[in-house]
Amino acid sequence: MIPEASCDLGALMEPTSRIKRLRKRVVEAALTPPDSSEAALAAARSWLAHGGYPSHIWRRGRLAGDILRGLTPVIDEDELLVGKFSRRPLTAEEAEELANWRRYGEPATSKAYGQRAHMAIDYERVLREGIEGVLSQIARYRARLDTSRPDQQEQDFFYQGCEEALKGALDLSDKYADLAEQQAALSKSPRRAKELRAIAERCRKVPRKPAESFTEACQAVHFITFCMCAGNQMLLFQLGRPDRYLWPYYKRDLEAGKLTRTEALEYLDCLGFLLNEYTPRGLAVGYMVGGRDEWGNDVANELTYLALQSIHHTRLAYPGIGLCWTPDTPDELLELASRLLARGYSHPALFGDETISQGLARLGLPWRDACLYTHSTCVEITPIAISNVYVASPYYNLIQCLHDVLGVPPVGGQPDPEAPEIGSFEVLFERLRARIAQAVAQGTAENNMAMASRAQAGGFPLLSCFVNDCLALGKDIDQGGARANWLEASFVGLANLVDSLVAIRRLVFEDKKLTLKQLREALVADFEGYAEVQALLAGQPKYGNDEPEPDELARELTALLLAECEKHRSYWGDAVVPGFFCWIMHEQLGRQTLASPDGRRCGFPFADGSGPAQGREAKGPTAMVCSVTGWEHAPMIGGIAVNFKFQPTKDPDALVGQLHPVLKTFLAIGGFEAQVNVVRREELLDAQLHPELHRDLVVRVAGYSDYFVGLSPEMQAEVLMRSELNEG
Amino acid sequence: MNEKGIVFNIQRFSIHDGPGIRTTVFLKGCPLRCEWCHNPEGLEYAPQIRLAVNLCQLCGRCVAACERGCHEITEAGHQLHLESCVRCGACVEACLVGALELVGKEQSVEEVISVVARDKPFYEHSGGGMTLSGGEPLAQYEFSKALLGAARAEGLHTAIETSAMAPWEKLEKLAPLVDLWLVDLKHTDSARHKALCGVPNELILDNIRKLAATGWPMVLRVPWVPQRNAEESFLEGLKKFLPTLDPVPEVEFMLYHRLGNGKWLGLGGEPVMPDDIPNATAEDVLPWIEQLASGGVHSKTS
Repeated sequence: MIPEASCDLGALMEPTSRIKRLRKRVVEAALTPPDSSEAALAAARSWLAHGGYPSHIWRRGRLAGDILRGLTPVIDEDELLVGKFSRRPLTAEEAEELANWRRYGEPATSKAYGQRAHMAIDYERVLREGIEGVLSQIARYRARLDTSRPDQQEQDFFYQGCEEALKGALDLSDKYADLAEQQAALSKSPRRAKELRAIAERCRKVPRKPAESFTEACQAVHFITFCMCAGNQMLLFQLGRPDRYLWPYYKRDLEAGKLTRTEALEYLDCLGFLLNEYTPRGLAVGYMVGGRDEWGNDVANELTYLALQSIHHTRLAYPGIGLCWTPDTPDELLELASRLLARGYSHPALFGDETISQGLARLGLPWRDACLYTHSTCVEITPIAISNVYVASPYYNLIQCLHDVLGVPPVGGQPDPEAPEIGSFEVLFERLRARIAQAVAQGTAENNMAMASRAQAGGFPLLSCFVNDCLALGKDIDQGGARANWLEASFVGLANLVDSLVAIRRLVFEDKKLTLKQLREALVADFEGYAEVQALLAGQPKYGNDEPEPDELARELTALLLAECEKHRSYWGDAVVPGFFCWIMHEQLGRQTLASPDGRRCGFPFADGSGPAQGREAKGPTAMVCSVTGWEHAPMIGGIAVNFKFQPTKDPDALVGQLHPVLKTFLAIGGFEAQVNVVRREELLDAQLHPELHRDLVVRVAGYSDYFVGLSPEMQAEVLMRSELNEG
Repeated sequence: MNEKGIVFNIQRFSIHDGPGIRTTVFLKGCPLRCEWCHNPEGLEYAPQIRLAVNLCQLCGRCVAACERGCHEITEAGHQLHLESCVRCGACVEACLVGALELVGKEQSVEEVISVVARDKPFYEHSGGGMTLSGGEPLAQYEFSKALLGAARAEGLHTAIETSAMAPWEKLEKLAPLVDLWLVDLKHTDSARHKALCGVPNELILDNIRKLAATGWPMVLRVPWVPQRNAEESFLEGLKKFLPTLDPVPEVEFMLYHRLGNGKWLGLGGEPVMPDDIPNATAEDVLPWIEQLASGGVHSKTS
């Protein structure tokens, strides 16, 4: 670490005026989605111009290069890093040209099925070698080939495609340099002119050549990421681990007096803003910091702090920053994270580094790769620089699996004429297992078909240049060139399934208060006329309250799902890995699913992630943590998300004392991922209208804390009044 | 571990009853009857019925289940007539939605500690532990002692929240098991104390003096209730009493809030405090803090 007594990186730093101006513009720009029709037009022209070339892999490389060459560069006021989509509207002729292509040409091109992006490329290579370094490596590989052999001819096509794509990236970078020079010449502000000349210089140098300074490294990282998005026509590239790959540059420049912390932070802020500019809402892009390196050292450095500080500056949907926690993570760092979360910011998410690395090692990754992973968007884990992992592929509806066993159709379907005869809970559980096994086999087959089709007709040479070991093997990422080719499944509705099974076991098989037939009728009727059945179901023990019965079932079910996944392999022979997160699918799948035996109404969202279902956490966060860590997280590399909810305090820093130890304990006892919601007034109001959905809402009463919905109406009014004061 | 007591709540993730994240064990029964009590379900020693008004679906199952006419559903809602209640729990059994509850349950030390110990890692990361509260924990002295002993054996930090309304010998015997005393002081004037809390305060003041003199970690918690104990005579009394303590403990004002009022209704009673008494604010207490400070006593609001 570099000593600088005056700088407290744990205290929140205010943004510079440049950052404030940029943020204002980014927030306004967020209203209109990024426009990539220019890229679409360039793609159309490329397909038409090169349709007759003998290799589709080469064509796809050329396509990426042509798209990048077809983009109009744009540099806005105050920007330090450059590279984004122009918002230039197409001319009438261009629009017609594109429309004609979409109508007559595009349907005949090969479609890329399955997962796209959701990974971080080999940024270290970008910085260390530059594109020219990669090109000369490709030249060496090509020189070794004997193209009279068919397999090596294939490899040569791939390499040529890579060259085409990389040259497009170089051309675009040059265009940016030209534009920056033009703007510098016209700028009335000598200060901005100087910045623009520096931008031009950087764009001439990186990512063409190795980066030699922090600012060059930032530009190279951003620019190559933008090229990945534009050139491959896919979004959702993560930035990997900037506090590792930028660290040597940062340290060197800071020590040489060429960089200040404030400047470095401005660049990180700019990286964040640009992600917002070209990522549509509702997706998830970001990066990770912290964690351990392959030698067991905790990585946390000044850049780790600065990355968290930039959350306070950007306060936007992206980047989604993940902080990887180890027992050696400095307490001040977790405290800084807690301070941000206490303010109601939704970042950072906290990841249990040892749990995740352990899980990756179990999948057979060498330890070095197991220590270098990223959340691929939300919480699904994928190794950096080697990944062709299909995440959330697919999302499984666990409740519909149970419903299929009970003879309850999806929304809009016809119930089986007769309820199935199920004599014991054990029989029911076994039928459920068999149904899940069938679903997993089918989901795996569908994704393997996507991988197979991509092997035949896909190809992303630009991306393959930075995913190992594609270049070394001379194989595109779609041809199996990547080192990790897992399928990650995501099971949605774990808490609902656990709660449903507890209710069925107790009410149908133990207490015999219900028959399966009655239960099925009540579910199909969405409890209309069956209010008592719903109340009975709702009154059973729920997952998330540290109760032995549901927690034991959660253990059994998660183990079962892992075992079912382990029976399968991906198209490229790699593992099928379970996960338990949902992105927005708890809502979508919930909408397609009738009422469930946990008391959930038809169409209502499933539990949001791996924690308890909405409103069922009635014993506070510590009991919730005991429940959700009651099953093993490490093998669930497909992702686990646990939502924590806290009531905001007048002074956000006062909340840190609660957040910090809860999060730390969760991570220390094997928790995979924690995200924090600090509850706002709107939720209190909604809790009054729908108390059943907010049983977990804890409020400070004074002298003690209590559950909001358990308070009398008068007390609720009091708390609400106070919350108004709090937020005023 | 065979000791048993009446517990009315085990509140995990308590963050206001001592340092760190704590589990507070609420013991039933209290010798005081403070008008402003915000835990009225802790006053009686025996278990009692409580209704969560907003969860009640007015289905009437409890009316049918109760042989003594304790429940009535009228247009005004669910009415409680608990004078004749024998705490049989039939209504609780009958309620499908969990709106009725028998507050207070006999539990063994082992049962309580097994819940408390679940959050051990949270205590370790936050400096927390177990707090006994109530009601008045000293009113279930043997049980409290056994609980504290068991918590100590688990290596937990222990705190006790008490009115100190008990013979000194009991406090003295508990002391080796208590890491932090949270002692309420509701008035310095005995007549006023009796008027507001139902009992005189000589024993309490005497215990506080002795507790202070032992040097055991203690926080004096002073409820500040407008139109009740928030009066000149109490402030003057504090100014005289506190400096006589040696050493002077930490003093914390607890601001009155009306939130306890609604709880009485769920227990079939009427709140003692009129609705028009406003909540206390930190600003209200500021002059008290300043005046105490000028006499060399440090205090703060909770």
